[in-house]
Amino acid sequence: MDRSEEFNIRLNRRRLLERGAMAGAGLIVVPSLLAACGGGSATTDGGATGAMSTAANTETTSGTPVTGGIFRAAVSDAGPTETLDPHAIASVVDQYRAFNLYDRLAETQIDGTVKPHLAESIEAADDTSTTWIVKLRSGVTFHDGSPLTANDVLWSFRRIGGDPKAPYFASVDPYIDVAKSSVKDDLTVEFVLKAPYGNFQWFLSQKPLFIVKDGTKDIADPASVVGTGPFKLESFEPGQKTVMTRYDGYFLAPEPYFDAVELIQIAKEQQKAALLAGQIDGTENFDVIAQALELEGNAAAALFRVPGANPPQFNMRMDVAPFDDPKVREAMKLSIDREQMMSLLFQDQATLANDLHGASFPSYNSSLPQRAYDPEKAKALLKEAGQEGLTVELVTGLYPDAAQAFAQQAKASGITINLKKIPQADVYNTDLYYLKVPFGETYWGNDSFEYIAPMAYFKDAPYNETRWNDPAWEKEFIAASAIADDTERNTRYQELQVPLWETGGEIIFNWGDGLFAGSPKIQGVQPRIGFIWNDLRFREMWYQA
Amino acid sequence: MPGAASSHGLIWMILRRIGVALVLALVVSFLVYAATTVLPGDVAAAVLGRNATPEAVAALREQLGLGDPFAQRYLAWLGDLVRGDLGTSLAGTQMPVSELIATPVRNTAVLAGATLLLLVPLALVVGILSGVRQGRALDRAAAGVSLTLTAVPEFVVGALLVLALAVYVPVLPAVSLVSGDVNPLSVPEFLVLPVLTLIIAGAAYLIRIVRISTIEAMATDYVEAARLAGVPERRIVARYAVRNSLAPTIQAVSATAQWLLGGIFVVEVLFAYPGVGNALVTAVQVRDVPVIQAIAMLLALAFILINLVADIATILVDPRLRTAA
Repeated sequence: MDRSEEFNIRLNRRRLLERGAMAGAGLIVVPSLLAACGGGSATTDGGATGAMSTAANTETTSGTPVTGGIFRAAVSDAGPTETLDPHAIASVVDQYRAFNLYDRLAETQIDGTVKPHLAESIEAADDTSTTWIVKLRSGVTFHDGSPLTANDVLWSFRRIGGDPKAPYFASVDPYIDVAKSSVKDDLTVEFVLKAPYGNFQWFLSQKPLFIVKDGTKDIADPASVVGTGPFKLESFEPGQKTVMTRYDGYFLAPEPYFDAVELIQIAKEQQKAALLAGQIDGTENFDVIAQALELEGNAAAALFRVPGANPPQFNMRMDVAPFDDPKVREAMKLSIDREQMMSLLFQDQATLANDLHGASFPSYNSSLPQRAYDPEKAKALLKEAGQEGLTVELVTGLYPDAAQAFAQQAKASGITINLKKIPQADVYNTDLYYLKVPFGETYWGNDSFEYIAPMAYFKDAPYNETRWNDPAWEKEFIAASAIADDTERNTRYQELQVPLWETGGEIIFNWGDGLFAGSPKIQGVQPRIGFIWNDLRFREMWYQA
Repeated sequence: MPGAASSHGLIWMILRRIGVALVLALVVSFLVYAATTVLPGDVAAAVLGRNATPEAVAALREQLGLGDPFAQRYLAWLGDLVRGDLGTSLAGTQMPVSELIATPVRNTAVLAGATLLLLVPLALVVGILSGVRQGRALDRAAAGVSLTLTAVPEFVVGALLVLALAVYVPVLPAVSLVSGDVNPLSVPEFLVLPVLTLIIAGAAYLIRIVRISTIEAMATDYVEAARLAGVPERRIVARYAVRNSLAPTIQAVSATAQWLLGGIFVVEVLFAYPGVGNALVTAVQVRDVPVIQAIAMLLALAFILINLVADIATILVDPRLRTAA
């Protein structure tokens, strides 16, 4: 199962909102640089992200990785909220570091499946899927030379899930009973779960379940950063620069290839100029797609793509009039012109979305018909609901352009959408707007239904923006998560999405692609679902002088 | 001698100026504090963002003393400020603010200093020459160029310079990546474009003032008398024109310096130069209130100080002003 761009829920609001700032650009095909053993475009099992074409790339390399070189990547949110603690990730730059200094027990592959990574095997102890045995690879070492043992794994999970004040406590505690879990031998950990969970291998691949060394006193102190990852921490200047150097003892030799990776703080607006001036080798996702597309054909830059990284979303609260009427909700969903949005917001560097999350995951229900712009049907529905000539207010701070377009498009259904513009920084302010406004915005990134459901669709979930309230549905979901067989579990998840699609309060209309750029000398970058730079696997990339 | 004041009167004038400056500083401190604590929404919730659980918000409110009455908080903050304690940053590492902004302040000072050191002499020379050769080729050219450039906003000037000198002809860096404690003076290539941008944006005003005062000084009776008496033109310019246009020039330089404090922010953000401007922008983005307050106060104090120094210098330079109460 693929991981997608953001473990966004716990993350710094500011970074979330940077993701949400989007504009349009035209459709141009992106050359992809292939790794030695890589394929072409990423396949998506049952996903609806659409085809991703790759242009003939006249710069295709021989494909053989070479050791050496320094990769300078730009980041834009290094600053006061940075931390070196991989269990307290709050910024994008924190992820850039954690993914490369540390490892997780499992990892998503480019084809979307999840495979054991630090672990050698992850298996259920019995049919109940409540006890899982994780066997670690032997021979893995930390940056200080000490071997990875089961104690390190258990200590890491207890650090996250044992302390209610830990930032990601809620990601572990509902699932794993860390007190009952135990070390069976040097390389074996037994995880005891609080409820049956079929997809545990996928669970272990999530951020921030990084394995740190047992007993580390101050994880956020640069001097004690010791992980098993492909790079070790060389220096850390908060708000400015991080330098990581190759760890020669990495268990996946010959990776990594770079001698060093530098993360340099540069505001997004200046990243393009810095790349063209040769000061950096990689940017972040461009906020303005047109600027990325301008680099097409520029010999000084190569353009890369993260499919489906940006799904803008409007939300209706199902417990507040007029959205408490399912006919009204459906009418709203039919009053948005998804095709026009793709061209307007993303210059067609996007695919249609169907009001459901996780289109690139196997749990996605792709058999539901794609909703289209249908003002006539919307009008009819409103008439039935006695809401002809409906007037509503949309609170917008993340996607003012999309909101504007929506207001325009909805006129054809007789709906008047008045826009209330608020500062971007206030969208997630729980005192003012977040979880309060009847009709507003949010951003979830490209995460799976399985991941999002407990946080958004359970009645008392912390981020239940639409107030979906269906106890029977919740029970079904929990039962589905317990199923060990992947196919059966995914089928049940797909069934659960049907009522969500039919009567839910979410309007998710496009999967916008993320476009980022780099030096043409950087090889090994593959277009794939997930986060930028091969889902932050710098270890797969190399520098061709 | 007419207009000469006793030194007692002079000192009294200077003391008055200092007193006014202090009062100004106090008023500004109140405004800065009030403005930053009356943000919409709860400050604690804003700082915590999406991590704002009720317990976390309560804990932060406690830590920030947000429950105390405003007057008490303001006076506590002011007291700390006067003693040099700028507070503690709310974000991530929770460093003392003074530690956090020490290097940015140094960097901005370097940038501002380098700019002024080049801009002022340049503007003086161009201004005096333009004034002395009023109406001739140099004057017209200088006026035309500087007025055009002044009409263009700094960030446009900066962006154009980046395009020209960093992208199309890559001789200079587009982004001023001065890392850590490195003194920008040791990596001057990072200073070139920001300084150039500021000079282009700010020189015109100073040139014009210098020019006008030079013209006025050159048109006075005593200059005419000196000419008729056979004093060489160069000496006339140096002794009379320059000296007598000093007072308005000092005022114009101080106005330029004050403009610079604002213009530097734009340039710092444009070039990602690690100065106080960037630090303030970051602090605002993460609602790091103590840092915002500290930087705002520092800037206000710099402003007031520049004014004060300019006023005193003008008084000392121009005897006629010494009788003014």
